[in-house]
Amino acid sequence: MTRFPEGPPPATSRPTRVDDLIDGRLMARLDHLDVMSRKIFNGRVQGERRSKRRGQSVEFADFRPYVHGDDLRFVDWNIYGRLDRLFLKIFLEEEDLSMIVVVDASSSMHWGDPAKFDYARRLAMALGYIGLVNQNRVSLAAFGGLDSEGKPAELQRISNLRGRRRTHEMGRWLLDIEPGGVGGFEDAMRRIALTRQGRGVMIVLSDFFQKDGFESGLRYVSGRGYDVHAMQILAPQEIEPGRHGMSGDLRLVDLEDDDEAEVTVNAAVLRGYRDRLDAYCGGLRDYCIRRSIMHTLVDTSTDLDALLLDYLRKRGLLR
Amino acid sequence: MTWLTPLFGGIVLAAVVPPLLALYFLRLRRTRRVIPSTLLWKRSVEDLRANAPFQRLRPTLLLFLQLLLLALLAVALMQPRFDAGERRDGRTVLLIDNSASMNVLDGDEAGTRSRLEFAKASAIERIEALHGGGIFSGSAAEIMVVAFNDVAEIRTPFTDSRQAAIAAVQGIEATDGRSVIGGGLQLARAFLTVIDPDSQTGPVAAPAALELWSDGRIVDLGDQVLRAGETIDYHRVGSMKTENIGIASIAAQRPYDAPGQVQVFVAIENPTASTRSADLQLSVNGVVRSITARPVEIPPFQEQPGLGRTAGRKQFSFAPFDQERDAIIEVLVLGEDGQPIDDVAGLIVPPAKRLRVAIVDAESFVLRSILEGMALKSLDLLDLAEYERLAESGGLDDYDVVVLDDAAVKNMPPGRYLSFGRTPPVEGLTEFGTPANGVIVRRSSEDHPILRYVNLDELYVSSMHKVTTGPGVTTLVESGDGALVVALDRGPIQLIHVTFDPLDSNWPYLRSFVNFVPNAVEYLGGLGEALATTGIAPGEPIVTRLPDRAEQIRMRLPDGTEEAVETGDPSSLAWGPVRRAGLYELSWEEPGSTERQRRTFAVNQLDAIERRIDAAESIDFSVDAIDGSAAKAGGTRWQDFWPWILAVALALMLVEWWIWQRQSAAG
Repeated sequence: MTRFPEGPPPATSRPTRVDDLIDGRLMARLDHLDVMSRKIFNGRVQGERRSKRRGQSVEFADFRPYVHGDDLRFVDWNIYGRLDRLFLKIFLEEEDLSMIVVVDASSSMHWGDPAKFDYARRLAMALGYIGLVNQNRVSLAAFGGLDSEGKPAELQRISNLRGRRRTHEMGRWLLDIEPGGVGGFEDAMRRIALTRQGRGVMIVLSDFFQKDGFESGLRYVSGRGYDVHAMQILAPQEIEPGRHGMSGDLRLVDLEDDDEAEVTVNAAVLRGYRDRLDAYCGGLRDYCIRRSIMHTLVDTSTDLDALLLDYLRKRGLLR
Repeated sequence: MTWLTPLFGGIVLAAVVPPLLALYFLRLRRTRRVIPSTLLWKRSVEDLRANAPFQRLRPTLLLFLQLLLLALLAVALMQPRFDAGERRDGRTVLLIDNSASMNVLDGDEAGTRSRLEFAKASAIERIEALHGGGIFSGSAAEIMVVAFNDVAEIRTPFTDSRQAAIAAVQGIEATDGRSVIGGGLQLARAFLTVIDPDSQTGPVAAPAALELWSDGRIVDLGDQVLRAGETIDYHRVGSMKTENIGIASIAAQRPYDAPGQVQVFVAIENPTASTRSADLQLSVNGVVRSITARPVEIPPFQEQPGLGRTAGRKQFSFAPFDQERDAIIEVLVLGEDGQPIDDVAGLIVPPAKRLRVAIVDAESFVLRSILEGMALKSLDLLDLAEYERLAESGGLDDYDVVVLDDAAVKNMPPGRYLSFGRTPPVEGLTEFGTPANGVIVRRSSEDHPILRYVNLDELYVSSMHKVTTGPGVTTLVESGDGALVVALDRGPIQLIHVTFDPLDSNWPYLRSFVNFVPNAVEYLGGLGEALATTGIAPGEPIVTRLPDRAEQIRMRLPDGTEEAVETGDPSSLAWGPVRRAGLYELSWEEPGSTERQRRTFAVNQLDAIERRIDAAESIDFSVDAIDGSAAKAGGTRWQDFWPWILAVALALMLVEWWIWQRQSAAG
């Protein structure tokens, strides 16, 4: 049982190297995994997965009548000989997968033991690595962080990474994110939805503690064909604060907006908090189900290996 | 359980708790905690507020401890105690008997405590009950403590201090005196009397409740009357079955024919209902001289019509024994009974002494012949001129007694005189008017030593000098026209004066005259002291004459302790009153003498009332019969709880401090 954190984790405990985000052993275990999508999307380049688009692979899909302008190379001349009509052979085209991992870098994520943001970075690194290894087009975005001058940053992103060799670049980008800004979840989702070309898998790593609500933000991305995974990352101290030493007369200060709440923590208050948390998470889950978003609650005390290799495979995100 | 000041504690509690709660929430020191979001917490608290309107009063441990602490303090202020008993406002006088009979060891059933100790314990409990105001509320009860034996002593005037009253009771000491309650009542009433200068009606006696701890054997109960508004509670101390016999009187005598011998007489009284027997032991100077051959049987008391109850009495005389020198005679009743103090009586017998007597202007052969018949060392006949010469030169000091036979002397230097007829020139005796004629005796003080065996019923005086008496003069025989025989004791001058010439009466023909003259001479000469006196009773002072040059005077008490005696005039020394019975030894030094001079006094408790020690079931205050109730002591003491509660509160405060410290350190 960990002690109740008194504030953000110290800088010394934060990962500074890519190896801190993902080590060789985990890489080796992730090499045979791939990101699964519940949908088949159009890719920009030929990839390693089947596309709904008929393409130029060797796998036959269908015939269709020739229309003017079609590539004559795909005309099935045998059929023309028998039926005297032009038909085109249609092959399934194998496309690449567009995958975007969105990391919440707001202040609320910079808390917990282990810290939620660090856990989210490691999870993003692992998912991104899986995407890179499988020649998917991997993009990462972070919202709510700080820029180099310590001011709230715009949406930070790194796009269209492909191939294992981009792993270190992706890791450095993740390490450079400075957490500590204010939410901005809705704006971030809106901007991603507007600028994202194509379709793909979107994984949102956040605690979804948005005082202005998570619904509008998710609404931006849920209606645009993304296979959205909302991974709600919570620290164990948030889930069971009473078990982690939260007691007494407290003045609770919100990390993001310095809002204060005076609470005398006792069994009734803890019970009420737990009910509210369950209701909040349940509301998020229900919303996600209605929007065909896969919701996953992740406790940062959960071992990352177990999460990736077991839990997320069962949930269908990885295979 | 009784609450002495419940209202006070309640008021304090009501006044302190709301501010505490207000302070608790206003000034609650909350620990700052940074969390990701207050979103859910605010909702949780709001839910609780919505569901529980008094959510702020939900107890925390510290608040609970503080409220408990306050409650304990309030309870302490309410001063709970076991059975505070009957409280009574107003004035209460506690009268505690510390006479001899209160020394009997039957105060409790175990027989380990004296009645006085038990009475003191009972009185203290009563004070705590009456004076249960505690330390925060002034009690309306005022208590006065009076101890009484022969003399009454105010241990404390009316006080509203419980501690002062208890200390006053605790300071009461045992005595061997008699129980005389009149003085105590007078003192109490004196303090009860309120003199209002604005009142036209004069002093007003406030009513008071009297509470008496005694065995009920009080000498002067019949003389006392309860005033209007006065009540008395009689707390009976001691057993009503304790029995006792004791010495009623003791005397010693040197027979006329054998002045070198001493004969001791003793009377034993039995106030009980059954015949008692006891052996008697005679000691001389601490050495047992004889013990009765067989037990002396003392009859039980008798109810005599008109006289009431009369104790059984047995007189006993020891066989004369040789004792030329002075001696301390002690008689002891052997065997145990309830009261040991009256089982022993002492007597001081002066050495066998032959007196030197001078008779001045002896006209009466009767007087001279009686003196010649006494075993005197010398008898000188002086005429007036020779007397005056010796008086001026100090030659009269050679005589133990000077007898003035109707002599018209001019000077009376210090000495001892027996005078007849003419009034001697001494302060305190003033002759007036013409001589009275045809005088007979109206009353005589028969208990005076010089009147032993002196029956004056047949005395007829044809002419007597009428005198008025001043201070220090005691009339021993009185007629309708004034004193016939007076005793004057004025320091160095001691005088027995007969206001008529025996030749002017029929006295020379009466046997009483033959007894009177030797009695008077021996009394004045110091011989008679031991012959009839039974010593000094407790409560009386020891009065004696020491040489003028005596210094370094000390008194050794019966318990062996010594006290220095301060007196400005050793020739007229009074010490006391004595409290305890026994032998008192006075010692002094004289310049030129290497040895300390010593004189012993015997103090005997021979009072009949004190001898009867069975506690009286009721007491009769003149017309008011007061039934007694057995005094209670040693039961449940009224135990104050508040010190214990304060101790618990203190411990609680320490626990609270520790918890607060721990929480502060954690925060």
